[in-house]
Amino acid sequence: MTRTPEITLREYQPGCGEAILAAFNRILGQVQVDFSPRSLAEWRWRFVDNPAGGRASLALDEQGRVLAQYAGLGVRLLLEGQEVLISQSVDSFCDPVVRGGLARAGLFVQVGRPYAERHAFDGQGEDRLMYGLPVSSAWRVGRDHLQYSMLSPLWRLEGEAAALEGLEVDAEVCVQTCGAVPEGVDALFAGAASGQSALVIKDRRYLAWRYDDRPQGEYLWLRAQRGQELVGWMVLATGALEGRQALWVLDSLVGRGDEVAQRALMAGAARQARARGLDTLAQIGTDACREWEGLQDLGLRVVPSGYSFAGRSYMPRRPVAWWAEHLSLSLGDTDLI
Amino acid sequence: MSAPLEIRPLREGDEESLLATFEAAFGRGLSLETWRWAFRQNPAGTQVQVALRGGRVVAQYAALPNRVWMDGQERVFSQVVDSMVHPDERGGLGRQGTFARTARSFFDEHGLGGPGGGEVSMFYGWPVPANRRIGERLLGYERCGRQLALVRALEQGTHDATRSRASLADLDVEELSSFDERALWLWERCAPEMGAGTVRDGAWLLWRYLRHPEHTYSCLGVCDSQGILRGLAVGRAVDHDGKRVALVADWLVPSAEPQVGQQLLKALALKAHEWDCETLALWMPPVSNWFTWFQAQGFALRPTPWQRVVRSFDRRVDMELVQTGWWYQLGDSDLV
Repeated sequence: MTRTPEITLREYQPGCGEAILAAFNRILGQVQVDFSPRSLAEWRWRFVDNPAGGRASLALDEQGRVLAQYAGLGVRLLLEGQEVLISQSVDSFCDPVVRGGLARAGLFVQVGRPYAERHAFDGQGEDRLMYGLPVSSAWRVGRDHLQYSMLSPLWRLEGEAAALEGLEVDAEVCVQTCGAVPEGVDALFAGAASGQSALVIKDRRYLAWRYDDRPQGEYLWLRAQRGQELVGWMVLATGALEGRQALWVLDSLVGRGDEVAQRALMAGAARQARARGLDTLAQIGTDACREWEGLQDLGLRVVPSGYSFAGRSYMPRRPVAWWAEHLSLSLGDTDLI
Repeated sequence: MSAPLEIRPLREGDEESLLATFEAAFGRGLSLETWRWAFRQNPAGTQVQVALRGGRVVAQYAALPNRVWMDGQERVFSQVVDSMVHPDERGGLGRQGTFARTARSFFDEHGLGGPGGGEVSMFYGWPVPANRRIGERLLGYERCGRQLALVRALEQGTHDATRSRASLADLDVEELSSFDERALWLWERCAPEMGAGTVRDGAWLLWRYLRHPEHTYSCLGVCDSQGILRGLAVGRAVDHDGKRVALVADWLVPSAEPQVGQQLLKALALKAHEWDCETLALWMPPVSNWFTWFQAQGFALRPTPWQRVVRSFDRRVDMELVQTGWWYQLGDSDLV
């Protein structure tokens, strides 16, 4: 007869990264066909170096082996002008050997509940919202036991690079590639953030971590300038999502209402796609995507993706429906690329 | 002390009191004729639970059922509409209040697997924000995201029939005044691409569009030389935010026949011009091939004020199906 292991639930503590990583690689290697083991450098970048912090609740057996994790990446957000934290749930896993082996709730739920209690704004923590892209089985468990609800379908907006390259652009805006976060991003963000209800903070601190510091990250920066002033930026990456090979726009920002800069950046991105032999320029967005109408006006078409964002609000006065209408998330706000 | 509350299915004779409470709750009247059309003449049946105090209807939880074809079987999806509580009873909007008790009794009566032997797999709707919040808090509503519409300004269309002053006859499109078995044949040809969708047979189309007591719909059909219906589009003009908008309530065309789609779109543009509309708008499920097709015709996806909510009583009808496998149109709502 198989003995049910004695399980300890506790929060992540400094020094247990290697045990988590070993479990992550062991368990996902068993369940994901195309899984590539994660490096310690990548794990550290995600959970230790993240300027908004990483967090995890763990379940361990008697030998100290990690059996399950519920984890998240902190995300700094400007909420009605005030900097607060939300988090993206990522990398949660549960060893198939013990999944569902506990009487009342599965181990995934058992680690998810203390995570919420520890980090939720209406509990002991600071997170105003949790969002993530759960697989369908995690969505069902999350909805039934962890108060997930639908935040937004994730839409793909895509256009033909050849057509976008031909967009008429104003000569006053110059678009160039650059090797790292361009100068002037903080001032641009401050201007763009004015009057926004909820906006993920895209300042130098965040951008340098998200794109420049990521081990083995291969991102391409575009900067748009009017004279010497930075009026827009864009981060691009080549890759396949849902089998769609494209040059992906992970993130971009222009000043509020600066359609000239947005058009120039899209044309510049399309040139980069063509130079890489890619026919498609694509990005993702939620229902609250700020550039939703502008991008369609530029010729991008909306295509459903197979993903949906789940969310759990930790602010009673701001239910998930409020976040769905006010929070715009981009590909860079996920860990898909 | 107030009289005890009685909660039960609607009975003959409740109508007068129910309509009086409707007016008190919504601040507008509902004619008996329209009420009968919605709740008595629906070919899929009647789903109304009422709460009475002292013989007077003080609350209603109601839905319009639709027969839905899904995975080779018929199921029922019902749109929750006109749910209400008399202002005198609004002190009880909590979990044990009159409204919530009426709603729970309704779900017991009609939900699949419930004690009332009901057969509804999923309830759905586009409630106003206050009702949505109550529904999420007390009644198990699940939000599925903001409802998006495909919208095109008429003057921007490059294929508008209005430019050439074509007539419906020029377009080989006819205005239909009745539906028969050919509607079901058309639906059967479309159904394999739909996932789960309301059975749009003659009875449903007649009831939904041609027998509506208040609204006039244009039912536009393309028929072949043998009189077989190849495609159907249903439209109506509405005033929305100070603009006149032509809403496409229904679009039933096999995606393998884009030329039929072109004929119908031109016909809709023609009608919209007759109706003095500035824009054409419709709902199309993103998984439909028509979702991309309409964008290629100059339609852009725009957010609407409505959030879609569902409550499933059938584990086969999960959020994945709701998001990617449920084919619905504006005509599946009471918003057109």
